[in-house]
Amino acid sequence: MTGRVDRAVVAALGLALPGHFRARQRAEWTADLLILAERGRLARWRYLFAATRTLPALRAVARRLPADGPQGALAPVSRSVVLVARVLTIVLGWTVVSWAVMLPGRYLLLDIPGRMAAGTLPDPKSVWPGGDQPALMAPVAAVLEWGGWAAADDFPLPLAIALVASVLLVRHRRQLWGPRRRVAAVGVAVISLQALLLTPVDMVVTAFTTIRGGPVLPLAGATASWLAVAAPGLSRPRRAVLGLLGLAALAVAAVDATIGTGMVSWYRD
Amino acid sequence: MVLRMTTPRLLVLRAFLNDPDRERYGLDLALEAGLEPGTIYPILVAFENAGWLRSREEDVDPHREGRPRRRYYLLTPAGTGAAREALAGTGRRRGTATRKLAW
Repeated sequence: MTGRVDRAVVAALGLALPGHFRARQRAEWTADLLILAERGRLARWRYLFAATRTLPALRAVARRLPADGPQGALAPVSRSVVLVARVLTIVLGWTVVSWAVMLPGRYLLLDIPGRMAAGTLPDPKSVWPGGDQPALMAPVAAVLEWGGWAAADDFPLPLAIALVASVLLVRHRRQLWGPRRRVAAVGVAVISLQALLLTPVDMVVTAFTTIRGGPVLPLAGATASWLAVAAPGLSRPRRAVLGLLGLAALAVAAVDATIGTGMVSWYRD
Repeated sequence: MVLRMTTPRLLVLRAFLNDPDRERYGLDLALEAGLEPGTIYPILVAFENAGWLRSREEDVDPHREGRPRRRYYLLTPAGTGAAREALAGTGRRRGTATRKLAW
């Protein structure tokens, strides 16, 4: 571990750097010092002396480094933003994939419109992955079925969000701060309460108003798209996935409410 | 962008060109280049300003790892070309100097 003196020197050196670059360089120095800790105090002091000696040059070049953009420093990202991004990635990924498989995938591949026109109405529960399938398929079918409901009728989404957020929060807290599990418990309680309150509201909105599909999916899609654009602290691949899933969720909500109403009615059957 | 080439900068470029497709972090590069650790960051940032390098933070949870996220540096295509040119230029100048000395 780096000592208190090392940390104080790193903090002091950082003060000489431009604000947009300070956190980035302190992280670099700290990570290097952690590695050099194995080599003893002398190696760390030599390192800090060398860093001090080259500080004016670093300051000069850092002032020209843009604060953002592809070559810039990444702003530190808060844990809450990371948690929201992870939750949205998992929940929207599940919803969008389930929707693609269970709604347009089956509706078009199994020629449901043609079969309906011919006078038969295939029960959505009797066609793949439902019907006579191996028992091993049951969990997959259940996951896809509920994902399809989340995309078509919205109401499972608040519960799914709460479940995923709780699992991630508990895992995260357990790894970080064992003694602080109470904080995780409070977080999970708040999330669950919100989900329990939101679910009936969502069901009422979907069932008794002209809003088709419910408000949570488009809201989650818009939030994911916004995070992809406005949360530069997230890594680029994570932002790309979030952006794609956000747009896909918005597209799903739009299709369900317009050209896909027949398909959604069949799925709800 | 034209950069003034110094011996430490050339050493860093040579270290990058040893394996141009591998991302490296600052300390790792400094040790490979034979520079004193702690002196490499002005060089890396200057190269980044010139568009010769791009950098990214590693995608790890710092609390789980028990250390800050590392920043990894990689030569851009422009940087690879410029680095080869700079090192070749140095080689040519050294060759000329050697010939002059020989005469």
